Amino acid sequence: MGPQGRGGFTEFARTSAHRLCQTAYLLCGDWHLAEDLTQIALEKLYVAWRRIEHTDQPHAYARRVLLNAYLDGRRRRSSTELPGIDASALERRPDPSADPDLPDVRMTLIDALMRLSPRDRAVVVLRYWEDHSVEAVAEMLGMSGSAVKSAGPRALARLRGTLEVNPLVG
Amino acid sequence: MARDKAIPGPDVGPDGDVETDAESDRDVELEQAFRRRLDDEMAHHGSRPMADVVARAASRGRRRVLVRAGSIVASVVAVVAVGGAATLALQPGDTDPERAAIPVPTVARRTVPAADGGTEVARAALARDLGTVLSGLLPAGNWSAARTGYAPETGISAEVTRDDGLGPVGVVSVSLRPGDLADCRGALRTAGERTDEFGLKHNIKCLAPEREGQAVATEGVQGPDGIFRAQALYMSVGSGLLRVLWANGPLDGKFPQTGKPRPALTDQQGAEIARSPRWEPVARRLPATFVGTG
Repeated sequence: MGPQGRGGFTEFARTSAHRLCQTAYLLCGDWHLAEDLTQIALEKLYVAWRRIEHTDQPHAYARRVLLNAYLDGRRRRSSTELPGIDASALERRPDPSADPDLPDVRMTLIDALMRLSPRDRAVVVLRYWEDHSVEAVAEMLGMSGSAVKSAGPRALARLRGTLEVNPLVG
Repeated sequence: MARDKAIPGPDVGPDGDVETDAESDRDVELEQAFRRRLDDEMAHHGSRPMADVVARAASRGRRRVLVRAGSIVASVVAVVAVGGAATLALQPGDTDPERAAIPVPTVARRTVPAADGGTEVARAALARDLGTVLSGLLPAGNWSAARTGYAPETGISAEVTRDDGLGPVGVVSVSLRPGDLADCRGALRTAGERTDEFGLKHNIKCLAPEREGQAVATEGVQGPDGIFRAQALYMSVGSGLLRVLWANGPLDGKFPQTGKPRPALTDQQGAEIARSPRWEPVARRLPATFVGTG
């Protein structure tokens, strides 16, 4: 990669890293792991940059790599682990003093998100956080469109059930 | 933030269409609520510094690109090396299994450009004659049959091995190519001192003609362990340059493990072989365009 390519990559990475990391965090529930996933995605993007820099696909490529890294990492984990659930996240509570409008909740939405199955969580994150179409999410996750279409609302309903004492709409 | 205020209830009306519309509305409302709430919560997490992540990713990506490029280069080199080895293995004269068993110690086995059939035949015949003369000049002992070869740098060559019953313990080789020791350095085409690919140190000296009565050069070969491995004598024979080398084992890095191996010949025996007039008829048949023409 020449200096121009390196500059292009750095600029893209600098502007995209934060959003990628947020997406990764919503998938895995752990900021450290999210940073690792972001790094993996950007590293692979660097290797492929010459091929994709002149397309309008860098964002899609990075998100795809991030998602694959997350799913691959989960597959490699021991079956004795509780994949996708960060134990500290379950104990995490937002600081009520930080926002007087937030009630003294027992669980945040992100905590509840971690209680979804990894695939449902991926559907929710990709559909409602990344705003991908049903077709795009289906293609990314290797699911049928109808499965994605039904999984999204079902997952949201489960979130609502989990957060009964802390409703989504306030 | 009561739930009944936030989300439409799950009650279902009797009318299917109305129910579907209501469900759809609830889904949309749920999505919007989810997005708002998620944005709020993520905003609470603030912005994480990503400069280090980006720098690490670029660094590791750069390394992967370099490793990948290195792998490609290594693969190409490996293919070339295998191809070169195959070419060497198919050199004329290598079909003799005896020859393959013990490499010629003094003749570099390099890729040789294809020669026309007549030149190859002439070289093979001349090399056989070298071997015949060499075998006739050797002192008594258990010597192998002569093996012959050719390389542009050293010319045609013949080699015999002495076996003491426990394996090869000595090698004598002779090579012949055009050259005149009157211009000693030019004829030898090599530095006075050099180390070959097996770590052997070659020390070549041009001796003044008046000292020996004729132009002579000597070559001493020392192993990486400091043990003396071989001695060679260069003589002008007609228009050719003859080199006779006697070694205490193959000079291909597989040195004998004995503490102080004996040379195949004494210096006296080696000098007598090199000065033999029996080389002259062979040297006279050496074609002028013999070396380097493939």
